[in-house]
Amino acid sequence: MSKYKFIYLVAAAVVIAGTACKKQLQVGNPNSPTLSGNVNNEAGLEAFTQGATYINGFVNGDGWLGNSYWSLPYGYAELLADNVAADAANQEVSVVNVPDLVTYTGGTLANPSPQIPFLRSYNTRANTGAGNNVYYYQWLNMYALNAAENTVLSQMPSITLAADDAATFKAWAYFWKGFAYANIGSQYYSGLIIDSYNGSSNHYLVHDSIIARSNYYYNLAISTLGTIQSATAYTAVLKTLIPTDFQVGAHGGIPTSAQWVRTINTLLARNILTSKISPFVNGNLSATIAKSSASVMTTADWTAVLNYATAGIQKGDVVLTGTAGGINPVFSAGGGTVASMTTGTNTNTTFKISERYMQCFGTGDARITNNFSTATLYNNPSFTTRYSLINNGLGTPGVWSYGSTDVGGYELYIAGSYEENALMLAEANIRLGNVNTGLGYVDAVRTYQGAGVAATANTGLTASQAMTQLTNERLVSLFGRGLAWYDVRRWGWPYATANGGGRYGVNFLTVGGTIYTGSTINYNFLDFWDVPADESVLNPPGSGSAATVNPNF
Amino acid sequence: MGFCALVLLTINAIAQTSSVTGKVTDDRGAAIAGASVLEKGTKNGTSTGTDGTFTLKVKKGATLIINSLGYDAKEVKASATPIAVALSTDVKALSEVVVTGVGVATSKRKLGIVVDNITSENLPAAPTASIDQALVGKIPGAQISSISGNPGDPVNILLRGINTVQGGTKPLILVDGIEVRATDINSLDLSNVERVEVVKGAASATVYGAQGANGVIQIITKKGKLGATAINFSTSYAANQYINSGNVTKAAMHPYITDGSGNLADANGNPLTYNYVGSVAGISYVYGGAARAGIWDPRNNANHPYLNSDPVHYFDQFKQVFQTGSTLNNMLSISGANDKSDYNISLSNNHTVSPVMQNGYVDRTNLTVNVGSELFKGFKIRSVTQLVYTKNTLVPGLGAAGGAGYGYGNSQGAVGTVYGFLNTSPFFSLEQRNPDGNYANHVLGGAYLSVNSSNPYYAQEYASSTDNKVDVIQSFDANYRINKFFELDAKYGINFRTENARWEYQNQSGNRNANYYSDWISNYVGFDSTEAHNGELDNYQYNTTFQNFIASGTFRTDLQKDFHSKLPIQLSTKAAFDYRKNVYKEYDTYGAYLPIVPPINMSSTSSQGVVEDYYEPKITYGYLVDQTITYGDLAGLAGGFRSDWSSAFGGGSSPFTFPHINGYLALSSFDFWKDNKVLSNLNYFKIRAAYGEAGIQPGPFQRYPVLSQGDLAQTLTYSLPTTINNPNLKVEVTKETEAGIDFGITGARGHWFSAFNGSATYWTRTSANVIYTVPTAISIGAPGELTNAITMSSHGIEFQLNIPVYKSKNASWNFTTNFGHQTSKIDAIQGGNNIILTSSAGSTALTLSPGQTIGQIYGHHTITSFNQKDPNGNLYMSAYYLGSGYNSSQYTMVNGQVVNIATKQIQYTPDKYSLGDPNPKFNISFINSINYKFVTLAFQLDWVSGSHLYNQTKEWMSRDGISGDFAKKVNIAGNVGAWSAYWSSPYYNILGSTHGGDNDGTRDYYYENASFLRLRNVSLAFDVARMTKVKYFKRLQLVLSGRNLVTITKYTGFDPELSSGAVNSAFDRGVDNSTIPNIKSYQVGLNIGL
Repeated sequence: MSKYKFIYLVAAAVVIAGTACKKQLQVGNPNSPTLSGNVNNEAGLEAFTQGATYINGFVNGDGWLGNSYWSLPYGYAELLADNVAADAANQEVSVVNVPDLVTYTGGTLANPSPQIPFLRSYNTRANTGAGNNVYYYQWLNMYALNAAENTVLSQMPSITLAADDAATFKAWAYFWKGFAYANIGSQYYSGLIIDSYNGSSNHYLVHDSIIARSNYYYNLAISTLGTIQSATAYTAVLKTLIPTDFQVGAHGGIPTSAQWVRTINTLLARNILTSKISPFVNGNLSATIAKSSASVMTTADWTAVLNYATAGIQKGDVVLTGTAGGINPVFSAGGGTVASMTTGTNTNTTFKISERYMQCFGTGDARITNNFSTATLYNNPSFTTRYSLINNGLGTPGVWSYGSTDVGGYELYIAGSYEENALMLAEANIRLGNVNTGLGYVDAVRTYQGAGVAATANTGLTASQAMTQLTNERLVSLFGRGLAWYDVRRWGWPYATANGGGRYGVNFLTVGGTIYTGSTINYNFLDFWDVPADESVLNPPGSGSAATVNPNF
Repeated sequence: MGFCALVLLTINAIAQTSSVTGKVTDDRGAAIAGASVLEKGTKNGTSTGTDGTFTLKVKKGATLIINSLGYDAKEVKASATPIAVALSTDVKALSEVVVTGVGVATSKRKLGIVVDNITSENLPAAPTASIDQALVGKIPGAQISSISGNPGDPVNILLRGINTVQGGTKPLILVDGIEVRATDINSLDLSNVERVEVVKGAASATVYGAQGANGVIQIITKKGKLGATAINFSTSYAANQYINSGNVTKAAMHPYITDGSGNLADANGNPLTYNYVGSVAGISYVYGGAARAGIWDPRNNANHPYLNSDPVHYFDQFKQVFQTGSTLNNMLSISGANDKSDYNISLSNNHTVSPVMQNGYVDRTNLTVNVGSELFKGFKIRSVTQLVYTKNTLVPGLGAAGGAGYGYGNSQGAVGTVYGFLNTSPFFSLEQRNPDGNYANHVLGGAYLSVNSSNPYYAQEYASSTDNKVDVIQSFDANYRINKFFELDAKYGINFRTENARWEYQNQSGNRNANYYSDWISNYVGFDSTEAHNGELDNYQYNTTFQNFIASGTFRTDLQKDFHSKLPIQLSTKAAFDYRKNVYKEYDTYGAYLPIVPPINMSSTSSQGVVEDYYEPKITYGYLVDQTITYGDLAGLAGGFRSDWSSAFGGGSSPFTFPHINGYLALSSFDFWKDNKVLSNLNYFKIRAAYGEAGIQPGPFQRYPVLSQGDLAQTLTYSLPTTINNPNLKVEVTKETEAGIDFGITGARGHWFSAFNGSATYWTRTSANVIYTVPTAISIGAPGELTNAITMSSHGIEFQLNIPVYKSKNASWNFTTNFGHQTSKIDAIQGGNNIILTSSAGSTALTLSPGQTIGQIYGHHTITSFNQKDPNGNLYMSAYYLGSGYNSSQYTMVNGQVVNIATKQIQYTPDKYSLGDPNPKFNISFINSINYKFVTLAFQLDWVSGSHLYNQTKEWMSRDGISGDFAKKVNIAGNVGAWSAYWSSPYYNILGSTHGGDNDGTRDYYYENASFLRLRNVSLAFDVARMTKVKYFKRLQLVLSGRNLVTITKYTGFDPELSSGAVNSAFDRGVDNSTIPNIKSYQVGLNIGL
């Protein structure tokens, strides 16, 4: 190589490299889709709507011992209702549900770290980071769900869609926005309304206003569904929005437009119940709670519940359910639901069936023998239990099974069920004075789940006795559906006994398994949660906002 | 690289009376090319050729001055001819020639920046045979720590300040001027290193622009030397054991129910045994029953010995797991050169067997070929090829290579199963097989002891892995010195790495213990109980291809010599273009459900999945302009800038420009200094200062807003990311100013303390546009935004002092000390809110807070006095916190902690506070080399002071009362006992709670001083060839050496040097969570030179 050749070569290389490089700099991210590049046609919108709804709404942020909204926030619901208990420190599941005081004939058990100050002391961003802030998860998921649906709605104008297809997408987005607001308004003292893509708000509103917004979107979903002409088009779109693992099971599938409307009616009825209280403490239908963050159900409210529930889910309706698939599941068979995390030997499971839960079953209920074993005792000062939930149950024909860790073994109810709707009809009727009509629905649910116990309707039960049947059945049959906490709260049980709350006549086991019946539990839990610090600190309340810390406690 | 020859003008002298010839060599006989030969008192001179020879016509009786950079100048009489001149290496390291961080190769005497230079003889032959390990303690100011003893794991390198959060502290690694990005530094061959140069900060690394902020480590490999063909062989064997300087044990006494004979028994007095799955049912605290809560019962006292006669007794699990490993190193090299070409070929192998149950090995083979040739006058080409093959057979969970993202390099092996063994109660033998002939994975004591247990023997029974890695490092350099003014250079390097890790989890369906507890090992089918026990086959395929092209042109002149100017001014100008492209690919698959009998491969699995199919290109390029002016020996000034473009910069089209300037003044070269009697003892004194900027690039895709994608069942779906990307992301820019002195003091005239040479530097840096995810209000749908959010600053001082303590004909003692102090803090975070983090290896809370040093650990404080107040002035020990029933007589002081007498629990603040900065206050190393005739004793002491570790290992061992502390007695208001409630309270308690929230919450109890003094290295070498002349052998050396033999520390964990955080993490540096400790090694080696 001559020296000039070398000089030219170097010079040429520099020039070529220098000029050719700039184009190379726009590498993009070849591994990931984008809103503009991928969500620009109907197929892309389908992929985004399904993923954003289920992943943003129910999976992201829920990785702990379990892995979905249905194991963590739903887990808290079962814990706070004393249906299950836990001993692991993760996400404070071992302490969130420790009552202030248990009074039993052998003595008392006091909690030196009462729940309300405990929850509040852990409502800091640092504790969220450490996985100790129980307020965080439901807020995170439901606002992520809301933002996902806002994004779906914002993308639609730029995509050419047939009218029925567009209506189906819109109804879907409205429905989940309604669902998100319902879960914010039912759990937190105050919340935010954000209805635009990339929108934000620092105007906190009390929970009733959030429920009102939920109702608005539920109704908008109903009216939007009413515009759809072609059931075929509707079904075709919905099939792409519901994960295939969620289109199977005894009650899952693609709901017809009418079935979906009935689900929404059930949820509208639920919104009334979860946003108010209707105390039933120690058998007293007229119990009052001295300090509560919710108003008391009126006759008009009960009538509204009755009306919505009458138009609600019917037996045999396809509703929104989910199962754990074997391949790329939305949630895992072993860790995706509170039920699966309760399933197994109590010494090994994250959640352990509570004695109080078992007490809600009537004598001879076939669901006990089919589902529960007493092979091992799990010791704990506040929740020693004899019971374990058997995987898939014993398989007694016609009898409900409450938990499974098998792939596809458990059908999760995501938004309303026949039992919930029937038991709302039951409770409304009892509250409105139609005791036997109400009990008829309780009996129907027991029959539906294969309890094999005698009917209660027309057996002369008083309204209070009927209400006890109702509360027992609601806790028993709706296990794992995210409702138990709202139920016990509106019945007044988690409130301090000094304020008229408490749970009476319950079984309590000490370490070693000595049973004390007729015990009293003074839970003294916070009724509507404070806004998590991850919101209230990073997005401080603007002027005129509602309190972000529940001012009643 | 032969940049350094001085071209001297030859002037025709008037009276040429004789011609002398000669040869200039170094003290080992290798020819020195380009050395200047000057007739004293004249301008008559020449320079040596590549073979070191010269011819010069001089006056009779003339004296020649021979000079070459890096060597002591020598004067010889031109009497006999040929003249043999052996130049000795300049003992003052200050005159070495360096190439890193400078535009043009420069003597350290003429630098305004700090460049550290460690020659190969000063790099200890650590058993790992890795360069990064060898550099520990060698670079003043740098914090290089060996954070794990798992074979193949990298070290943490922090050169100067933490200037980034996400980017980590890893410096740029160069080999012979070319970046090596795909290959880990610990894969390179230590035996092949000529020297290592290090520039630490932005002021000196600006020439590397957008990749220089963390400093640069440049490895210069050995080249063949003129003379006879040299053959070198060395071999060594080392025995390695894990360090347990804190004497970590498990409690040898227990608080459980025993029968009349002292055997463990259940509540009814029945003796306990191991059941058919290896667990112990019925174990119960003496008080509080068979429940986890028993540990809080203040009456429980671990004062019962485990009886060896009892079937359920104490086992030394540490002995079962931590055994003795070994390392075998072999190296063979052959090298030589003639006047046109040189070559050096070496082959080396390192074979390390893990001390963790000797579960596998890491085997690395390096082949290096370095050839250079001068094709025609002034035109040289060189090719350096390194091929590295690494095979790693460590078991998944016990140190294996592989896993998602492992192929990026600088990753630690998977050691998760160690955690399980540490959390297994001591009355379980890990080596015990169950009646089905298999090991237990998970064992329980009752339902509440060892809930987090898992057994490394189970992992060894069912899991295995093979990781094969091939690295190719190829560089070509073409250099053309057109004339004395101009030089062109083109370098091209390609660095390729391909790695395949295959992990096998056998079908475990036959293991009754695992089936009973639904506790199997697998990676991707772990959640689903019905599938995981059938085993899994994982296949990770990683590929990295990195290319680096650098073209440069240099113009040099010496006004005095070239243009007869009276001004002794030398100028050099360099312009360079630099292009880098990296492509990383990863493809991870798994197959589920393995047959029990062979063949076991992907096709025998029943279902398969693709976990990752990933492609990551990154392109960056830039140009550099650098101008240097020196004025004789007195002063110099250099400055310039570099502009970089990158595919990772926001918008992608605008460059970022990094300027630099530095200068020096050699005061000792001025006449006033030389003439001053006092000052002249300080025979060399230079002040210098530098300013520069450098960058750290964003991640390749961080500027692109994207959606997440994933399959739900078999439908591809998109979702919103949890972090929003900023499309206008900028490069992280760090600006540094350094100033310092270099000095040489003439010492005593005798053998002792003949000189004191040293340098000291103060530096200060600020970093802006530091990228990290800042928290956002979650109602907008994402909890974070990734953006240029943080400003940071750091400063430090460093010095090096070298003393030839003693020097005589037969003996010498050389002493060097390296000192560094540095601290880094977060100045501001966008939005002003703290960034909450968790240690990657545990739940320890970390926080980035404006105004605080980086890496702070947050936790509950121990209440240490009755007068302690919260930030609002409320007394903790008061009714405000403890209710109206509070009475100070309920509490007492124990070991400086407030303890509740009734519950025996130490009291902690309910709020969390900073526990402090875990980073060391200073690092200092003392390096000695003592030589007497044919014996050399060398040793290095490293002292790291003021560092802290969060002992999360102990915290987890407190959960079930396993830690050795639980057997220690304590006096609580007169009650003396090994109280379980007391020892467990740092795990469970906060003020006002007996078993309240934040179990495993971070508490200062576990935040320990981890300062240490370590005998890093000691070696005793005998050169038999010098002892008694052995024919044919140039060198026959026997070396006995040890590494990490002695550690003095107050830290109560295994090893005060380890860290569980990600390697080179900026913030996760102070947590010890069940990491494999460092090893101490005893090594014997033989070096042969022919």
